[in-house]
Amino acid sequence: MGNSISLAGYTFVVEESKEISGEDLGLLQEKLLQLNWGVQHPASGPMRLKLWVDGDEVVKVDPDIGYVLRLLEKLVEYRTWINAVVNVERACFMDDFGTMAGYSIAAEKIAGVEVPKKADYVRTILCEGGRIVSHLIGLGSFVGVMGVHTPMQWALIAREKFLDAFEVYSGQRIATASIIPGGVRYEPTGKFIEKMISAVDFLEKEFIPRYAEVFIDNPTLKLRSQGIGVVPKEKAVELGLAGPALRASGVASDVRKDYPYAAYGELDFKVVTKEEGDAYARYLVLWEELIESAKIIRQAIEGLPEGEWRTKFPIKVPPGEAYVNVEWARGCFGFHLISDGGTGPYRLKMRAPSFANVWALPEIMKNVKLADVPVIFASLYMCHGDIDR
Amino acid sequence: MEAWIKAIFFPGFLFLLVVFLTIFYLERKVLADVHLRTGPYYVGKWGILQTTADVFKLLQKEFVIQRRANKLLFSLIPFVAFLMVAILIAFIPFSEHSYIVSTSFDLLVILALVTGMPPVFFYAGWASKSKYSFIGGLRVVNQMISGEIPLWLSALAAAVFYGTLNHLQIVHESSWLGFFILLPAFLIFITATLIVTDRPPFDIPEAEQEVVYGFLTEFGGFNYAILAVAKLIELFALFSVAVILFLGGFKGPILPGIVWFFVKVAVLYLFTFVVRASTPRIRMDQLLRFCWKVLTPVALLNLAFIILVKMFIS
Amino acid sequence: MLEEIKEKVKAEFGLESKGYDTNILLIECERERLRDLVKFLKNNGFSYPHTVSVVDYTPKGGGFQVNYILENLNEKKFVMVRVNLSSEDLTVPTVSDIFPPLQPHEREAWEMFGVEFIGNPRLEVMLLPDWAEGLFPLRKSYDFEKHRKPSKEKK
Repeated sequence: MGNSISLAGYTFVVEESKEISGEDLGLLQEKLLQLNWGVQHPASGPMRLKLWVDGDEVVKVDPDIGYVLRLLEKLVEYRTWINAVVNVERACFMDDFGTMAGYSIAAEKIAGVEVPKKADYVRTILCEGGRIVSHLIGLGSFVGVMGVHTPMQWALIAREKFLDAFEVYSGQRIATASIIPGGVRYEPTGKFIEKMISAVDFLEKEFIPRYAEVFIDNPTLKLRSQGIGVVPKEKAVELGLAGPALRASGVASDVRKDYPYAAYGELDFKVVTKEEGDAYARYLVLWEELIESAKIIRQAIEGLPEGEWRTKFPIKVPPGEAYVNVEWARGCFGFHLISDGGTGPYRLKMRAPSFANVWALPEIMKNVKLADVPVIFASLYMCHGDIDR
Repeated sequence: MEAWIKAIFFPGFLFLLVVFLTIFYLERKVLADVHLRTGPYYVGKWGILQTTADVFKLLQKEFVIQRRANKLLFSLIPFVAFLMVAILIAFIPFSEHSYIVSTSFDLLVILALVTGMPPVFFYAGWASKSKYSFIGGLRVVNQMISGEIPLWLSALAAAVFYGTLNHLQIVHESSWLGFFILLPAFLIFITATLIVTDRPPFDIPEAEQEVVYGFLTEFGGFNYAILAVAKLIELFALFSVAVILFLGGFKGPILPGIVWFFVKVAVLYLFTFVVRASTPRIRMDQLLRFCWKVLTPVALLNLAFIILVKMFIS
Repeated sequence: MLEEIKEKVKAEFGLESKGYDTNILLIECERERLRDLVKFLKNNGFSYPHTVSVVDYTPKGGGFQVNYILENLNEKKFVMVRVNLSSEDLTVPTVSDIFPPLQPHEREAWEMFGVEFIGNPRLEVMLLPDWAEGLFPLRKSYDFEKHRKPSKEKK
């Protein structure tokens, strides 16, 4: 049996040209059970984890992705510069503002368009709103995988207020298509600002105290998630983790701080990091970023300048290319955008943080218990639309 | 003739059916309240008929048996499970006169039948011939065996204290003094009950996010309804036993006995609902460690303590 | 910081590099020296790999371009290593043993563009459905109309 574990132990470097496919397991099959944790599983979403378990121990994990592939990178090539945001924002429906902002900044860099200051501030407000919306679901689903559905329900109530604000702004609740190259699509009306403030008020005054009382420092939650899926600092960089998972391991990598875009350079906020690097630390990073984001929105609304919110974006963009990173809810999202002088992007490569995280799973999930699989999976905070694109 | 009416109407089958539908309805309403949503609303006044509608929906469903499953066991197990737990109810006195049978070894029968449940659930998982069902079945056996020892020990503490196994007699002899002396045993009994009936936070065998639905994964429609009701009845029976052993059963001022009985049961249920809404599920190894290293030794010590008390009282 | 790296790369490999953006350095490199260069960059702090981005320039008369984007997490600087390939010979040595996280990125580039990463342990279909293997959908020559899922009746 000892032999078989080392045989099944999988690293990227091992010269294992052929993937073990069930029948090939041969001897292993007597003791190892292959579980399909996924596609039709209550906690997996549209992806599959092939798990090889020895009793209750997970021996090997192999993610099987591609169930929601839409080939967005190809679809973008058929669109005009402005229409392409519709495809870009569909990378993940939970936080669509981050991806739109990144694409727009890349397009503006190529075209040499200067965005009005008001647009920058509105982008900041929207991006942080998107982050809050996304983090709320992340918190809810993390506790949700341990059988408690209360946080998710509470989070959805708070999320609803933000969706209302987005609806007032753009007419859509989820896929808003509101950030475009050259600024933002709509004027930030007083009603939108009012709605946003009331949403942040609800979050800070009602949701955060209520949630903190029960589900932060919850002893059973700690028992379950502390020391699970530990990724030390060096290992996190080596595995290429992104976003909250990377920050939970003590690497202060936040694009908002490192390469300020939109109005982040003028606002005051701190980068949340934790040293432990376990599932609970990743959960706390989400929690503290939520609080930070609410503060950023307040600052941005206070500092909202007067003026135009949108400039003209040329129909034809001169040839060129740009690589732009934005701090999306799930980590740094990279856009490698190339123009050939036409009316639309020539090529767009999206660097998805969830894609990086999902391929760190085989390393993190070595020799954990079967019961820890959903906990680690949820703590890495992945979005399936983002993995497949 | 009298006994037949008792068995079918009150406090027998039909009465219990109503009780379970109500409990199920209350669970959904209480959980919804904690979740800050409305819960069942449209079917009947305040959605009170929602659970009934759900049961009828399950009854209409197709009877699906997986191709590889052991067909005889697969279709038989739910009924075996139901029969085993239905027997439990016969021994519970809801009030002075509403019980089906009363013998001198009531408690023993109930504990013995509860101990007989793990093999049934294990076979339910095994007969499904599905990986997740099988893992769920193994987990049930693991968990119930480790939960049943504290259950027995704490129930025996009460039996030793009152010197009888007859439920009616225990209720008649119960007093405030007995309640305080048996308080530790009561807490152990409730915890062990949650473990044995896999209620949250000990719902490891049917942990949705880990093993889909445990041994219930492959069951659907009527089979599922029967199995789910069997698990509900098991919990109800054990809570009733807890009320009889530790909380004085149907005793209480002013109101009739049966009302007091169900008020006490309802308090215990309310406790489980709140626990379900706020406590994450723990892991199998953590549960085993807790059972064998904490709960069982404490239950043993408690039994010794009760015996000491008994020596001084008599 | 980037100037320093620029000098070092010039001295070590004789490769010209230019500023790409305010904090990105673009190094053009032949595929024979790619592994050495990437190893050198990793030792110089560029330890966080972002992605492998392939661009198809065949309609423009060029070949394929493979871009490796690496980040220095301490200095907050990027470097982009660019390898130009002709469309006849689409092979490039893998860097997945130097940067393990790039392994799935190379795998994705392979299934989308057909660029073969020699030495990558696992070049097999990941995102695409099985029937689409070898169609290389992100190439400019791919046609949505022509390549459709084979329907069951035709079988």
